[in-house]
Amino acid sequence: MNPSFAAPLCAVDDMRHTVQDGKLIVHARKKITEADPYMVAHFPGRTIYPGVFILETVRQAVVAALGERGGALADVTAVRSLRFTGAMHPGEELVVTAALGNSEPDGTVSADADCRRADGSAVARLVLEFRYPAGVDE
Amino acid sequence: MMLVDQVEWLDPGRALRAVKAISGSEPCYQHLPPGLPRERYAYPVSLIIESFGQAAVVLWQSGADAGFTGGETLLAFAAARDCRFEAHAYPGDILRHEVEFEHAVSGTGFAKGEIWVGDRRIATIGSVIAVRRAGLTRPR
Repeated sequence: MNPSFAAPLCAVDDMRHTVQDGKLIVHARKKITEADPYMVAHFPGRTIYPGVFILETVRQAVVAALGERGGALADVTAVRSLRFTGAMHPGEELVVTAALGNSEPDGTVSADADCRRADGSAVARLVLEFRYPAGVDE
Repeated sequence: MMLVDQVEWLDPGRALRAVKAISGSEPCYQHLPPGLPRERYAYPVSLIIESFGQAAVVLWQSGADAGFTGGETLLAFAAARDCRFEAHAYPGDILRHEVEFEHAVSGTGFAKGEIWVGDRRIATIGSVIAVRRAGLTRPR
């Protein structure tokens, strides 16, 4: 399902969330396919899921998990750290496990996302921050 | 996925200013139904970072001692740190990347900078890192 906000592609095929030690854990999967926007040109003859699309998968999953507040969605306010350790190719499946921190006094929620292939091999590690726009009611 | 329109100013290997116009006809907007709140049209952070990263690659390759020889070498986005997003950008806005190249070592380039729309800073980029990966060359 396409996200209800501007996005380069639908970067989440399915998702669920669990609670562990009082923390919300978001689980998301995305099958890499050449049919997605931008993929044919990245790169011609050797298609690789852009690293920023891994960020997009995490973003879409966390935004969906946090949900709407007063009709507004949470924004990515920071990429504290992001490291790619492997490339994803068509036919592979990206598996994201993102642990959400508790809300800070200013409403910031951190997401620590571990990204792997279905075989468990590491692809990326991201720490992002999200926050609802100012003025949105709790 | 070319997300840099023009380099406006270049100090080879050191700094550049590049721009990218955001258009409502871009693929990232095509799936949206009419009538959504304006905030839903905020240009995705992933594409803002990609645009900045492409400008940083242009800057790296412009350096005389960059060492890019023999065909087109593709660079992979390896890492980023301390990127803060302060405001949204929307269709009709022009992203202005102010990029500084910090240094390169062993095929890894480090850059930082800021992203502006008009007189409003929308993001600060603490560090983006690109690497030349073995075998990652554009096919002829």
